[in-house]
Amino acid sequence: MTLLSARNIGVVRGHTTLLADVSVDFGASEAVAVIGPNGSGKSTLLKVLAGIEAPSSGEVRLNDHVPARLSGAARAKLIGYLPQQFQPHWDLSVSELVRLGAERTGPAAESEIERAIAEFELTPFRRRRWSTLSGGERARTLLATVLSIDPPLLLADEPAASLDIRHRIAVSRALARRGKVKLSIVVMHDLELAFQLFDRIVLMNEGRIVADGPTSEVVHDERLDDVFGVRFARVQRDGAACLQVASVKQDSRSVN
Amino acid sequence: MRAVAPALVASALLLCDLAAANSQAMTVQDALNRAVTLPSPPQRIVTIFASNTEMISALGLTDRIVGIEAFTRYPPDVLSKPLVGGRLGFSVDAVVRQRPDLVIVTPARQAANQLIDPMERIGIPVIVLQQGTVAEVLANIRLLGRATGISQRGDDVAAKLKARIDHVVRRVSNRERPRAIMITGRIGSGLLLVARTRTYTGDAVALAGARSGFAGDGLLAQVSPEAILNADPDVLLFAGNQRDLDELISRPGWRDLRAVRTHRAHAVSRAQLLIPGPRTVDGIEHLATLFHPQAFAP
Amino acid sequence: MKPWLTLAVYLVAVLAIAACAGHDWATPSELLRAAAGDDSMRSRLLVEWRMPRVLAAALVGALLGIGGAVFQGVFRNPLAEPYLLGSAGGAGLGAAIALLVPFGVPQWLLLPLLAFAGAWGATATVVVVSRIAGAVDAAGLLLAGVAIAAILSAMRSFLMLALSDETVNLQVVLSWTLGGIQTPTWLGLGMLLAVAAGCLALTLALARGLDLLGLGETMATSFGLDVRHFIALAVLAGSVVVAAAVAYGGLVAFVGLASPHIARWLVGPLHRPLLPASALVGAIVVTLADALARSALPPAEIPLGLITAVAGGPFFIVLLAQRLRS
Repeated sequence: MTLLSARNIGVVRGHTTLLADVSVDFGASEAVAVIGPNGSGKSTLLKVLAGIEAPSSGEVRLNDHVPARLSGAARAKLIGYLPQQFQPHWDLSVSELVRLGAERTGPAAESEIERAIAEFELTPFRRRRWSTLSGGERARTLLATVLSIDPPLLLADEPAASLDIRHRIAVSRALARRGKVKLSIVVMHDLELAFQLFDRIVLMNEGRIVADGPTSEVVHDERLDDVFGVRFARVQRDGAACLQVASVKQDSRSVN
Repeated sequence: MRAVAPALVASALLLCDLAAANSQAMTVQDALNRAVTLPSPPQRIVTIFASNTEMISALGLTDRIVGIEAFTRYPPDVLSKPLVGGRLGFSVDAVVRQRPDLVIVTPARQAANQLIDPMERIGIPVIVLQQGTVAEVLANIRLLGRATGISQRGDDVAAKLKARIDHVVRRVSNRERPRAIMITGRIGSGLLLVARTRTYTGDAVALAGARSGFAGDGLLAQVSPEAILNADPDVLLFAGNQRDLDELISRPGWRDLRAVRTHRAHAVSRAQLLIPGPRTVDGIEHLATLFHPQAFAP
Repeated sequence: MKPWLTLAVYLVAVLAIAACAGHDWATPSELLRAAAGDDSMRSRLLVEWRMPRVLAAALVGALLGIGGAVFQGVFRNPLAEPYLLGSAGGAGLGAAIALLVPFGVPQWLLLPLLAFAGAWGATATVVVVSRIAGAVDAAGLLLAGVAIAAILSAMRSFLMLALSDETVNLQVVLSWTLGGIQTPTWLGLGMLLAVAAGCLALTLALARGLDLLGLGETMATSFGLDVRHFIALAVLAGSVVVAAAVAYGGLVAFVGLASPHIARWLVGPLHRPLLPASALVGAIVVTLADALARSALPPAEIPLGLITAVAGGPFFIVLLAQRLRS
């Protein structure tokens, strides 16, 4: 059952085409990783799907609604968005942030806020202010804030990019696991983790979707090597094929 | 029965007498068309600005003054009185501390803004005086005489001053009026302030037998030095001290002014010409000797 | 609970001190006697002149605190202050017109009215100009604000030169610009109180949106806020508050900048507690500053804006140093 669909999405800003004729469908519960080199349009696609940016052409439908035309509150109820970078301007505490997230669609009970805080193991930190939190704690706080109302669609833009490996794995795993019951679309830079944790891979390059399918199929797609300018090795691990960097191609295309 | 009539008349007269005594209450109309009622002749007067102080003193009521401000310098016996204001403004608290029953103020600087409203609210009578001509200065003296319960003396003082003015006017009538410009101040950017015809200072100049060196009053009181050089008046007056005047006329362009070449550039008294009070008449007399020396030669 | 109690206690104490303060300090017993209805000149001074002045100072301070908090929330910049976006220039022009042009209307009504119209009108113009230029974001508003402020300032200067004469001279307009409480009648004070309460209610309705803006425009949008629309609304609301403050108190520097910061240290950055806390802090600061203005240099009254600027300058520097260090 299709929850989210994008048809012929085009995004042009000035003279630059960020997205060209992108069409893709998503079901109600999937763990999807969107991968691709810098400038391939991943973040833009995510923002269009989230209704944060309006496409120059094409249409997004979420449950038969057009997110851009929904009221803010209605959209907030359906879509959760984790940005690439997040720095609150004011030095809020963990519980204040989570409360803002929880109350974005209406009044929230204390218990719901406590539950969200506990889910991401933030209870000992609830009174701590943002400036005193470590990278990992901040990531978990952001997750708790956005997921405190458990929207059916979660769009995350490289949320673990600046974290150390342990936290990166934890956050990515949490987002992928969510895909078992809800729709979770995550832009990933860490290809190893993407292929290990997610069920479906969408490969983008230069504003288009190049490949789209279950991880077990896409992992063998040779276009991965072309798009990234890297020779990958496909290795078996835990009964599934995984991606590993074999060598860097000596090729003009790899120089950007 | 016949004794009743004279008794009635006697008591009627007595009542009239009492009424007369109680009708010390006086209502005057001030410059802002405010009706100011004084229940009895004021004994404690606060005078804001030199002009008002000098007029009250001219009426002989110096000892009734209980508060002045820092701009007042004359007469000498007021200098010891308490100050209620100065450059930085005027203090309601200080005025009230003197428990005055009359405050006289002119709407210059911020006096009117700072004092009229609070005095009204606290219930202290305030008279606002303005003067655009010398005649109005004399009228103010008469008004203050009425307000302080000595209208006869007010009229006398004003009449004496008027007599002196009339004397001057007679002496200079039928004489050709020189063109005169009076500089009253300087602004830092080099602009000069001049007395305009529609002020009491300009009126004083006219009464003393001169006419304005400019074709008409401009929008602003400040003029560029060029305008004065172009106008090239017969007489140049400088309200200030001689040293400043010498410095001004030694500048290029000024030396060639007709008034400078013919030694008709004079420093005149600020106190006499920029305070709209009794000393203005002294100023008129002095100016007349400058404009028409022959008329006043011994 | 504790910060609110502290603020309330400070406010009451400061109001009491300010009521006593003046060139002629009053004792508490004199105050009580005056309040009880004594008819002496001194009591009338205290009741008809000083009390309304002190209470007006507190309310003006409250309005500045609220306005400052709103502007800092909209621009997400701790250095934002309420006179951005032309309200100072507009108010100055309105006040100059009220003080220099002879209308038939009494000045106690005209001055606040025109100052208010000028302040709010200027900001509304800025918002419209940014809309036309297609830049209703923080940077666009600020740029339009700078341009409009320059134009208004020039217009005011010209008016001052052209219309002032010996009776209403430049000093009057200048002194208004330097800030000072226009003592209202008790009726006027009631109006001011109603206006302040209204402004607080108005801005509290914006509290949640301001919190969301603080998360960044992207996050705010994803949380359901129509960011462009909200910024315009918040700016207009904030400038109503500032215009009201300016109408009754002239241009008082730094209170709008400092009060939200102090309030944030006490109650945190969420706007629902911040707005009233900032109002209380502003009230305390201005009441105190006004008491100082009225009593420090007899017989003069130091313009209120000068005192807040002189104290505000060092505060500003400390704030800057703190910001650079963090």
